Amino acid sequence: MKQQQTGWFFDGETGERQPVLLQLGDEALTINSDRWPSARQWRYADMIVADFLADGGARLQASDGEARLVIGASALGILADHIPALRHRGRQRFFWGRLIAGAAATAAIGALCYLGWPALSDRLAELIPEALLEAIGDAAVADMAQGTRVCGVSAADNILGELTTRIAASVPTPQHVRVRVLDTPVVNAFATPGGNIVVFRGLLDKAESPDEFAGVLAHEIGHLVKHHPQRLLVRYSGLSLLSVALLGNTNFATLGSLVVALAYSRDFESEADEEAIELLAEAKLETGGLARFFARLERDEKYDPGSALRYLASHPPTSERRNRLEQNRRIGAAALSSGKWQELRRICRS
Amino acid sequence: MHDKPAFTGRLGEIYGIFFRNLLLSIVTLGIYRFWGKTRMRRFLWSRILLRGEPFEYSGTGRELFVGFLKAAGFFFLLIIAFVLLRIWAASYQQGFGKFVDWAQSVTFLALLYIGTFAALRYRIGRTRWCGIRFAQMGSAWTYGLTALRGLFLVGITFGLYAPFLNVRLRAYQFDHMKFGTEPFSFDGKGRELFKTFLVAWLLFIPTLGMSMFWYSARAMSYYAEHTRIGAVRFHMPVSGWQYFSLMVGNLLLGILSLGFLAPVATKRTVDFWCRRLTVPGELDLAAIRQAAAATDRSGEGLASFLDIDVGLG
Repeated sequence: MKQQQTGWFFDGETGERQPVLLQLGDEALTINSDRWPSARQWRYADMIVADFLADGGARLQASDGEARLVIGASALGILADHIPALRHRGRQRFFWGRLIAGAAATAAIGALCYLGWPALSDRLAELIPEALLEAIGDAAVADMAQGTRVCGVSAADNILGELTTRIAASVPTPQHVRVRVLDTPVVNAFATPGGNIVVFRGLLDKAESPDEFAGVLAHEIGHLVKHHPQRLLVRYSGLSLLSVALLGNTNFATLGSLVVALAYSRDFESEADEEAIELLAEAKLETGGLARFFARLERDEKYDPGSALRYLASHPPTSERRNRLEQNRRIGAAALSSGKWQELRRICRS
Repeated sequence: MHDKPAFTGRLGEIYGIFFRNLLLSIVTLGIYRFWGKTRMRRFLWSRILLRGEPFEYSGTGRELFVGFLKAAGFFFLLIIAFVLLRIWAASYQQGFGKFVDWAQSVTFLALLYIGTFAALRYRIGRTRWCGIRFAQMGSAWTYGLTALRGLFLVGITFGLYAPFLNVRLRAYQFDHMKFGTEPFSFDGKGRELFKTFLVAWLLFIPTLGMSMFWYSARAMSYYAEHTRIGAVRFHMPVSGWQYFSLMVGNLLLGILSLGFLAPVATKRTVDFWCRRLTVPGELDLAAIRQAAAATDRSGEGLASFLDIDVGLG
């Protein structure tokens, strides 16, 4: 009779396999065995498919119970009328629908994170104590200074210090800015957390006038004023952590977060430019130096590839930046007298 | 044939799940992978039959996901702690920095073993056969510490302690494994494997490391011979060449296909185990009782975060 089927029952208390008879009711399945005092009733609504089996049958359970009922292919066909889950043989319903929904949800969350993360990371960056920032910055400088000599550090009694103080004079709460010149022929300059600025000798050699150098210095001081070093640190750390968590531990993840981090840093570069112009203007200094420096670097790079690549790579001069710098040129005094400028250029030769 | 496990899964079925998982993982930037792994394991477990009865995997994607989040959080804090420690040490002399580096390496090495044990424990605890749960008791911390101590000894003996350490770890694992209320037991001794290891160790350089495949195969057979549960024994005769062709074959498949032949590697591995393993002995299933449910619900997090491969999905 179609209403009676057979199956195998594992009661979840011992490992014994028991042959059982199945009776299909309207609401529930009755499971019975000669050796049982009374039959078991499993309601269709409670039943879950634990697995679909290789022979075409299935393994069923009732809610979170330990017991298992194993049925063959023919019994499955008949039970499928009462239990919808049996009809799909493991094939996910609405697969494509779920796929699209999943993609949309991920895209939405991703966009939110990308847009919301900068604001959050900036708040977090402000929370980092000054002492820790200085420690990080000092460690970074020590790292950079490996294998090379520190030609000079800005101080109250030297030219470097005098120039720095002049540019940073208008900063409302001036942090302790320390500028170091490292004896490396690289054309570059960095700002680190904690008020450190590192200038490589190559940049000093490349600059042809004190105003160009002052422009670069003002740009780096601008980074410090706007707290860019720590903000970038938190933004990037969070991003790389997130992408490792999402995509798993792969190199692809770090590459992706690096790309996004660079996108973020372009804003910082523009901000630092604006700040630089303001600082120089407040100090009544000539403001066109940075623009001139960029123009010359790009020209040099075109004819002698690699000579300025480092600086241009870490301070990407987009056309917007160039335009804004050009438009904001103001007349002012020279940053240093020519005598002092020449002396500064010789800082690594003593 | 009655005593051997049988794999009734087809390559096409594995590929179906594989591609589905891949697609969904890509569009969810990887978040789906926990549910994907669960799906694959449920399928594989249900296609492995022992004495005609299929195994069952009762883990969920959610457990894996939560476990991963917990491990990620823990790891995040640990990394920050080490970064702070490193910065603080940098303001002292050089020696401190080296010490922090050493402490970091030791910690992560320990975490590797702890994570492996936790992942095994989760998988074993979510495996059933005939409705009865397996269980891996014991502590991941003990396992990790045993491993650390052993690794130290392996280091100072130029590797000769390795078979002893491996046997100790196996012993710990199997002595704490149960099927329902029935315990497994392991009676292997490190010194019994030592002679074989010594030969492989001496031949390591002349054979460009191949001798280790031979040793590993011998070790696998040894572990099987010395494991039992009740009246049931395990036999797994494997030759070095068979093991080598499995491992290196899978490696090549993975590399050459950029991962697209992974299902083939999975099938090869399962087939390998089912073909080589025999599980003779009377098992009175009516006498085996269900034990209390396992409480750890997310043990695989660390392994997942550190990308530890515990084998088979």
